[in-house]
Amino acid sequence: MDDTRAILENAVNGLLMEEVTQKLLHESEEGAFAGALWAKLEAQGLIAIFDGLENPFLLAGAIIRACGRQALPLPLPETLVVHAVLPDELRNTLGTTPIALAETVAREGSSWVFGRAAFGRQSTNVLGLYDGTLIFARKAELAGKGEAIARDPRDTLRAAAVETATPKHDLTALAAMMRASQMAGAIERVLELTVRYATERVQFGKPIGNFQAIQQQLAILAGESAAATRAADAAWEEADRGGNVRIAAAIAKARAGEAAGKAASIAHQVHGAIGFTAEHVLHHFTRRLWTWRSEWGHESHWHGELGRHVLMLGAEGLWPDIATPA
Amino acid sequence: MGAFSFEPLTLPDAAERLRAEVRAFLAREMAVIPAVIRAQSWSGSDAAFSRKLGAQGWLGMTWPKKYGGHERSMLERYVMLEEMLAAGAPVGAHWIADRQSGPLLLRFGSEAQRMEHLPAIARGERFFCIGMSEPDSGSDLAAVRSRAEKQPDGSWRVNGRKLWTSGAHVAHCMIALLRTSTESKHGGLTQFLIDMKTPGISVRPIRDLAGHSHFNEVTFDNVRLPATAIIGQEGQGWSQVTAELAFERSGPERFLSCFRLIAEMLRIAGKNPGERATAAFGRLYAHLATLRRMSLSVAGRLSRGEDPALEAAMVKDLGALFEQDIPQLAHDLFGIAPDAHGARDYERVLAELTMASPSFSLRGGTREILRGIIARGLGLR
Ligand SMILES: Cc1cc2nc3c(=O)[nH]c(=O)nc-3n(C[C@H](O)[C@H](O)[C@H](O)COP(=O)(O)OP(=O)(O)OC[C@H]3O[C@@H](n4cnc5c(N)ncnc54)[C@H](O)[C@@H]3O)c2cc1C
Repeated sequence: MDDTRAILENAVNGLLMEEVTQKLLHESEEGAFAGALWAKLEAQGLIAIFDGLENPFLLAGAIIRACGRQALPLPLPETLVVHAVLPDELRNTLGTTPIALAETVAREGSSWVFGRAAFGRQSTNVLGLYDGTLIFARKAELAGKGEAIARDPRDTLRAAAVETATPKHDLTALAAMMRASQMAGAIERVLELTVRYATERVQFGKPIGNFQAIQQQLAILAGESAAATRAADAAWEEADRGGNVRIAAAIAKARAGEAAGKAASIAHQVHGAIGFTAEHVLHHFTRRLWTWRSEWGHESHWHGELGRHVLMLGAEGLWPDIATPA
Repeated sequence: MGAFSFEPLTLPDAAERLRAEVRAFLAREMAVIPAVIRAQSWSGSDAAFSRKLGAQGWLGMTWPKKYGGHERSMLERYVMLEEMLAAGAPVGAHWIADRQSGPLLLRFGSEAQRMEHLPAIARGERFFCIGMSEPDSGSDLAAVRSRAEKQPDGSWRVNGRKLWTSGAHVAHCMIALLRTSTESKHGGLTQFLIDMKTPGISVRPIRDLAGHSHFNEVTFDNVRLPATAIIGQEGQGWSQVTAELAFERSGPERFLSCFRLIAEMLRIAGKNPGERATAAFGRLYAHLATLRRMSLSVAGRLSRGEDPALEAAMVKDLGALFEQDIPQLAHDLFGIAPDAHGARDYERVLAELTMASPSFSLRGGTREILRGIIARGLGLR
């Protein structure tokens, strides 16, 4: 791991661990914008990382995973992905302002409608993809509020004037990688919370973590966490190498999405009733896992794409493809 | 940050160059080997094939030259192994000697033991078996009862029974874990290097559910071993065997056992098997690619001299689940019955691996034992 990456990764982990309190999560989920925290992220240099840093994708992946670990209720992951796909001349005009990322774009008369825009209400800037072209609006207006069960904004924005550009990278793939890394981070956190709870909660005179049935469940959760993290990180590594990002993204999103479902159910089972309450911190992560796994292509979508790739490779082509120098 | 980590690994150029050599070799050698034999993977034994690998310099690859090794890197060896397994090469005869007996002797063996056995293993001429399990000692390995008693002249007399000993019928030697003292459960165990031709040893094949006799019962009836048969220190058997098991848990064989079935499934599927089958292949691919990345990461750490025992257990646990999913998936997708005598390769390979699959989460440490190791790594035990 190179030094810049280690330093920035530590910075983001440290900062978010301190700042993203449960209070902040509650307030954000009630509609507040954590603007003060955004300013701190700016000050730490965590936003403009596509400005000449080496291996920016690896770094982006690490930052996004850290955001997932803390359930950061701000569009830092989305903004990084937008920076990655926009042509330099357009990106250079944006500074470090938060940017919303829309999952759908449609035309309605003379205006453009951005659907399921993550953190739409917190930004006038929004990016989406229409027919392979990037559609970017600087002065989008809020046309409808929505929120997934993550309770992070998923809004509808409308704009009359837009700029268009050819994507520098595959936006759908990078957005899928973003959700995969957020899931990997959140699963790591869920594992930590669940292991800790299992050592603290006492029933039948001993910590429930002493029961083999609980240990076996936590071992499964750990395996899913490791798989999600390796699959997600690998996709960003592939992007820096200029390899087949589409396939790596598909693997990452599909594998992390599968892990997300298993992780959430094991974590809740081990936590018992307390983990089912609004008061407990667990649901901030599990609700996001259930949201993220279905955004930017759920597992079966990416399984289909990967499956077509495998069928094209055929019986003799599969192994050479799997073992291609990564 | 956490209890475990899976750092990325990029294979060095030397390893990728070797891959091309191995593929060219396999293209020549594998054409004549039937699909159902390829499906047996590292359970399939072919002494002639083992000697060919020895001649290529692909056994004992990482060992010092003075012991007949080739001083190649662990990552080169990893690549050679994964290519063999993906092709379904019959590597079973030398597998145990190359993977664990040789490394064990390098680490704990006497100079005489090393000089006598390592060059022969590296030539593909000496095969080993593992005598750990017994009738009353499975997961609870330290419950081993087979006894070695020291004789007044310093030699040993062995009595007892080993069970499930893979390849004992073709092996020249066994590394056995024997009880040399009853005073302490773990402290009373010692490892011995036993010539299988020693009088008093009998090997009885055990038929498995597929009808194969890959494993055996090995009985010791007043078997006399010389004082030099001890490996390492008397009473150190437990810690030595634990180190040995680590060699056993980390390789690509822990997720590639069913690779040949995937290939046959793709042949049956053709180019357009419908949406459900397509998605199923996609899921399989995502798992396979991720497992390989995890396994490579473990290999990278081993090659840096670290001891990623927790990560290796995680890969083996996930790998066995994956391998066992594949015959199940084949069944779900195609509705063609497994048939060991069927007309098509697919039917025979599916038969072979459907019947082999229960063993994937038993051999080398059961699923429950591995998960116990993982739980300990998480701080729960
Ligand atoms: C194909 C094959 C090849 C083999 N080759 C060899 C060989 O070459 N040499 C050799 O020495 N051995 C060999 N073995 C034996 C293998 O190592 C044992 O099968 C394994 O250690 C498990 O022991 P067991 O079968 O006695 O099962 P048991 O230990 O009796 O276990 C039965 C069940 O109980 C569970 N269990 C046991 N203890 C616990 C616990 N503490 N907590 C929770 N669950 C538990 C197990 O996980 C398993 O599900 C081979 C086995 C197979 C299947």
